[in-house]
Amino acid sequence: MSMYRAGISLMLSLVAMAGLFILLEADLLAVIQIMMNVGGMLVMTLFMVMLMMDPGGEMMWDMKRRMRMKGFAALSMSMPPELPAEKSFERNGALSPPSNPNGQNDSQVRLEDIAINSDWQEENEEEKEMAEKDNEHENEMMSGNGTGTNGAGGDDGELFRRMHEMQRAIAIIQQQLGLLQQQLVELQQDLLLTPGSGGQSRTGQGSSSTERSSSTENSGGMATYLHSPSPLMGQSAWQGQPRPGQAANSPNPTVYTCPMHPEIRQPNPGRCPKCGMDLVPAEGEEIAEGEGNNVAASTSPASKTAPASASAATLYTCPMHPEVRQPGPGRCPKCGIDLVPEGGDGGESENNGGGPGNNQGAGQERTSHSSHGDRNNQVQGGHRQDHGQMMHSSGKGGGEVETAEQMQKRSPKAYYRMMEGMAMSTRQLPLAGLFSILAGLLLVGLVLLVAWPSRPAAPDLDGPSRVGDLLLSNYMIAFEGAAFLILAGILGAVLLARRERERKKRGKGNGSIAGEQLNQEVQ
Amino acid sequence: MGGPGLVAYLVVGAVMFAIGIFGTLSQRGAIMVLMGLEIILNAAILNLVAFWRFINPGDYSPQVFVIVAMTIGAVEMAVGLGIVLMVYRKKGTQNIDKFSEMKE
Repeated sequence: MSMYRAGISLMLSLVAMAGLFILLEADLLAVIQIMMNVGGMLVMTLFMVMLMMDPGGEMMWDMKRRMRMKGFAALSMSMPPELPAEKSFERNGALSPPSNPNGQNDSQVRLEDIAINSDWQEENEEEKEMAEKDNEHENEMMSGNGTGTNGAGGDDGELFRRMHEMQRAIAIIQQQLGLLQQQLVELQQDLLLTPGSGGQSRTGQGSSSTERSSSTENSGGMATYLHSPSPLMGQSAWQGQPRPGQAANSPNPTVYTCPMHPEIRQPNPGRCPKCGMDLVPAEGEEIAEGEGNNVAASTSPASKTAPASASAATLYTCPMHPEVRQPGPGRCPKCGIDLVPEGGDGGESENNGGGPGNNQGAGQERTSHSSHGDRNNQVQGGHRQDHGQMMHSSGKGGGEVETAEQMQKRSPKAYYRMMEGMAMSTRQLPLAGLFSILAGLLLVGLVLLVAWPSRPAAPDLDGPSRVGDLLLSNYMIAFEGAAFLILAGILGAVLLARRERERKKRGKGNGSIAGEQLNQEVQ
Repeated sequence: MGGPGLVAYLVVGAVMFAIGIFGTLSQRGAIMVLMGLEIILNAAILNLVAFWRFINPGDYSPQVFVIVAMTIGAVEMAVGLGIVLMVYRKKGTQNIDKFSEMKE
């Protein structure tokens, strides 16, 4: 039930009461009714309603509508619609723009694909099991309706239970995605550690380790690497590309970065996967730097190795499956991830923060002829960075687990209550309707049973002046008492509302979120 | 004078009272409960005015009584809203089921 509509209806009913008063020839009362009740009280009521969340019941309505759609959009119901973590996990998980609204199943299927095709089987066995458990959960929740624990009953309880289940499943999936990311990092690290089998792979290692060593401050380098879709890849694949025009004519040379996380770089605007802020175009220096790199590419000693790396870099590989190699860009046949050019790592032109000495050709030569210690150093650097990344993802995974456990503990009824407390659109107690109908019938029956005396005399025309005379003569004390009562009531209400605000302003109270929000609004 | 008789007003008042009881009992939001109380009060006032009009229209004391009752209703609404606002700030909800403890 919507509070806003209830308030408007109450105002209309009070106006109708004033009309009834006029019908009853009590004009003064009608005027007072409109002035006092409609003008004063309902302004206060509506003001109060406006302070609450979701005064119009729009949120609950939207929740129900989305539940009916049963889509992925249902996830964002209880949270603010653009919660950054969820979005980022979504982006991380799909590794490609989610095409269908039913992204949940999409990511799950993809997850299972990855699990099946993975090289690190034993670790992914658990994940497959978890995914299967997820599936079972979903089947349960789709089929088993009668086992709900909600005592509230009705469609709403079922809907909320289902929503709760879906959120839990999504939390688990997100956690798994975090694990997968971590394993990705580990896999890349393994690639660094193992000596390459062929020249091509060594080239790939070399450049990737160059990327690692050159971007030590770049804790999110892996994420950027994974996130950066093909235009950036194409731009950074200058190294072995026989067509340098591609880099120059690259459609989107502007790199977007997060104002809070400079390591986040994406070729197109969007939101930061870490904090959800809007990405801003990076400064000109990065762009210029990238172009400088390109120039260096055409003139640097890398051109000497161009014939060798040209054949290497025209091969596109999958970041997840290094055995997949294709001559052109596309998608991995195993997992569907966008293929990246093997020779040039995606992160190079964007992550390379060094000067002219640290250009790609030098890095490549150094790594291809690097001593063992040098590589060890690089690997250590990469390892440190990977550790940070792992900490990052594991922290997020832990949070997700906690959320899932919390949601498991929370019964659907309690969840509904929480939503209800947030949403200000209240649910009706079941017995109230019956009781009130009985009371109404009883009252109407009494009214109809009793033979009321009737005196058809009309009131005087000067009723209001008679009332004024009475108020100021016989009922003077009552009138003054009412006046002081109003004064005391208004003052009390203002003080009740204001003292709290001052206490909050002093900042010592452990204010609730709502209080802080309210304070912000007031300020 | 043709208008509706006393019974019609009393029936309207009874129905309004029942609606007010329903709102008071069924809603969990404190403001909704206050709105239900307001409807109940208005039903009582309507009954008062109807009785004045059809039983003793020459005496204007009931109108004074109605004015005092409206005043009390307004004050009750103001104080109730103030309390709800305070509790809402403290607890972040206006669900009266959560107001069960008055301490803190």
